Amino acid sequence: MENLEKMIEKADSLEELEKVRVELFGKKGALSKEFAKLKDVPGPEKKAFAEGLNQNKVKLQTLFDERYTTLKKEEIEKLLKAETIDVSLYGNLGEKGALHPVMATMDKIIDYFVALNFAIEDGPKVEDDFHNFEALNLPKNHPAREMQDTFFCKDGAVLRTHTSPVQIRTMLKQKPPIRMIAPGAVFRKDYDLTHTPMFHQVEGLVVGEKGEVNFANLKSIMSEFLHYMFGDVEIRFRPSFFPFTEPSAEVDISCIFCEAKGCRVCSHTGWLEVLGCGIVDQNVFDAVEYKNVSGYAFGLGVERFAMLLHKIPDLRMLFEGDTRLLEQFR
Amino acid sequence: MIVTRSWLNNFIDISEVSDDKLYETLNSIGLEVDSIKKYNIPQKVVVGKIISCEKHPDADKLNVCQIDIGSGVRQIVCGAKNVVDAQYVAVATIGAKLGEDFEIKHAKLRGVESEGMVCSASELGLPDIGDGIMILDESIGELVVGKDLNEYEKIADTVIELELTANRGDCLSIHGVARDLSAALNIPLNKFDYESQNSEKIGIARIAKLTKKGIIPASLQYVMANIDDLHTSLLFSLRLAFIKEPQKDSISSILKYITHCTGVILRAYDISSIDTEEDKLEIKVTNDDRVINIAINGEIQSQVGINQNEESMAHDNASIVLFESSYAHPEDLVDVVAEKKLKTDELYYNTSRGSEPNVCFGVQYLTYLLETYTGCTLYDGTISLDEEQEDKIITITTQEISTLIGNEIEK
Ligand SMILES: [Zn+2]
Repeated sequence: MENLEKMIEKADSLEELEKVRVELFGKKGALSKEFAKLKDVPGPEKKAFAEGLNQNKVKLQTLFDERYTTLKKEEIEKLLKAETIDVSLYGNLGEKGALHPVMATMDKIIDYFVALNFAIEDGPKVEDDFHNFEALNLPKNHPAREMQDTFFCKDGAVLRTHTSPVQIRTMLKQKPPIRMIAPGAVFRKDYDLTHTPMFHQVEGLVVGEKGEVNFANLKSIMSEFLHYMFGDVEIRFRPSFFPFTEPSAEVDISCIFCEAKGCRVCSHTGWLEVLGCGIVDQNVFDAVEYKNVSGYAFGLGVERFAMLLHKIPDLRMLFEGDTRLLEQFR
Repeated sequence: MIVTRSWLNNFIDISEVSDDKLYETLNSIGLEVDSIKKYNIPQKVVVGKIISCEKHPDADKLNVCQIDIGSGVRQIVCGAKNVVDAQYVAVATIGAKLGEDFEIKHAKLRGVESEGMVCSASELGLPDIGDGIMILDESIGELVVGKDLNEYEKIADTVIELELTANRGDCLSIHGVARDLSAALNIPLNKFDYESQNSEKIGIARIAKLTKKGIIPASLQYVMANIDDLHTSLLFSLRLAFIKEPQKDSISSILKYITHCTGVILRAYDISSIDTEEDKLEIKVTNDDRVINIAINGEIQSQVGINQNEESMAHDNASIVLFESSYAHPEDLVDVVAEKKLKTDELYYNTSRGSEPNVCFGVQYLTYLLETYTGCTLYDGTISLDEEQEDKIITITTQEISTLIGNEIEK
C-alpha cells in the first residue's frame, strides 16, 4: 500500500501520473488484482477484507486527485509562463485597420442628415429602366440619357447610374411627407482622372404638401450642409438642367485650394462644383401618381467630397487599395 | 459649345461688357463656363505688306522678302513655302518677344541680313491653322500696314468654352448664345438680313423642282450655286480652329462655319453632272415611315437631320452645288433613329438636341458668305418646303413661380 502511495507522489508530470493511474486503477491494475483476491477470502473475513480494500481505494483516489490537481496547476503555470506577451511592446504584425476615406466621408454626410431627421433608404444596384430612367423624366432616346454612360445587362436591366431610383422606390412604397437620403454605390462606363466605373452618391429627397417645400428651403439646407462639410466657404447656386428637377441648380463652393484666387484644381475659376439639386419635376410626381405635392431633391458624389476634404489629386487613388494612402487615415 | 467674343459681336454688341461680367452672366443663365482664354498677340507684331519676294542666293528653301511694316521697308528672310502667295503677313519686328526666351533680333541667314520674322499662327500663340505662315486678309478687318496685330479683335479674340446641358439645343450656335445674352444683359440682338446681289440671272426654279409625298414634318430650303474661286478666308480658318473644328476643304469649312454661327443645319450636294441648259433637277421629299428621305434625280441622298450619302457630298472640285438648309423635330428624330438603329452623322448631335428651325436664316447667311468671300454665283431665288408651325404656349403665373422658389420676385 505504501508503495502505491509513493508511486503517486513520485509522478512529477501529468503523463507519468496517467501511467500510474493505469497501473493502479486500470483493469489489470494493482487494485483490480487486490479485488480479485476477494473471491479466495473465506466467508467471515470477506466483509472486513472488502472494507479494507475500499478504504485503500478511496485513500489512493484522493491522493491521486490531489496530485492531479497540483500537476495540472503546475502545467498551466508553465504554459502561461511560456506564452506570456508584453502588450506594451510594438508588434510587427496585426496592423489596425481604419475606415476608408470614402466611407468616413459618407458617414460624415449621413450624420448631418440623420440629425435633421432624414430617413436612410436603400435600393437594388441592378435596376430596371423604369426606376433608373423612365420615372425620372428620362424618356427613351432622350439625349439626356447620354449624360450617363450606362452599363446594360442583356435583358435590358441596368446597373443603376445614380441613386435617384431610390427616390422613386421610396415614393412608391410610402406616402408623403417624405424626408430621406439614399447613400450607395452607382455605376457608369467611364474611367479617367475624374471618373471611375463605380463610385458613391448620396441622394436626398423631401416631399411635402404643395407649396410647403420650395427652392428657398433647398437653398438654405444645402448652404448649411456645405458649411458643415467644408467650413467657411462661399457658396454659389448656378442654374442648370437635370431631367428630374425643374428648376435645377448646380452648387459651387469657393476653391479651398487657392482661396478662390484661381488654380489648376478649379480651372482658374475660383469655384469648385460640388452638388446638383432642384425642385422635383412634376413629371416625376406624375410617374409615382403623387398629387398636390411639392418637393426638392439633391445628389452629390461622395468621392468628390472625400477628394476635396483630404486634397487627394486623383480619384482613382481611392480605388487602388494602396495601403500607403489608407495608412494616412488611421 | 465654344463661342468667341468677336463672333458674338456679330449679333450683339458686347464691346462694353468685361470678360468678368460676361463670365458671370453666362453662368447665371445656365450656360456654364468651362474655360475662358484670351489670345494676346505679342507687342511689336504688326501687319506687313510684301513688296517683293526672291529666292535666297545660297539656300533653296529660303526666300528674301522686302516687307513694308509701316515705319519703313525691312528685308526679312522667310522659310515658309506659302510666302510667295502672300501679300499681307504678320511680321514680328526687332524686339518682339514670341516667348520667354525668344526675342526677335537682327540676324544673318546664310549671309543675308534679316530684320524680323514672318509668323505662322502657332508662332503667335494662336491655334494651328495649317502649314506655313499666316496670310492676312480683310476678313479680320481693314488691313493697315504697321498696325499692331493685337488690335485686331478677331485675331486677339477671347475664346469661351461652354458646357451645355442636354436641354439647350437652342444654344448650340453663336446666334443662340447671343440671343440669351441679349435677354440677360438687356442689349438688343442684331437681326441678320441679307439680300442676294446675284449676278446669275437664271432662277433656281427653272432648273430644280421640289416635290413631296405624304406629310412632311420638317422645313427645307434650297439654293444653288456655281462654284468659283472657292477659298476660305483667314477668319474662317481661325474661328474653326478656335472652336476646334478645322475642316479639310473650303465647302465643309463654310458649312461648319454657318452651322456653328446660326445653328441651322446645312448640307451640300454635288450636282456638277447635270447640264443646266437641258436637265431638270428633281428633289423629292418623302416620309417613309417617319424617316424623311431626300431623293435627288431618283436616288435617295440624305435623311433629314440624320445622315447624307458620302457620294453626294460636295467637295471643292464641284462646279455646281445644291445647298440645303433643314430642320426636323428632335423628338421625332431620336425615336426613329433609336427604333430603326439608323446610322447618324456628326450633325445629329445638333439635330437631336434641336437645331435652329429658321432655315431661311441659314440660307441667307450662306448667300452672304458665298457672295462676299468667294467668286461663287448663286441662282436666283430659293425653293422651299415649309412646315406649318403652331406656336407653343406655356402658361405659368407669377404666383406659381413664387410658390416654387419660396420668394417673391419683383415684376
Ligand atoms: Zn482653386
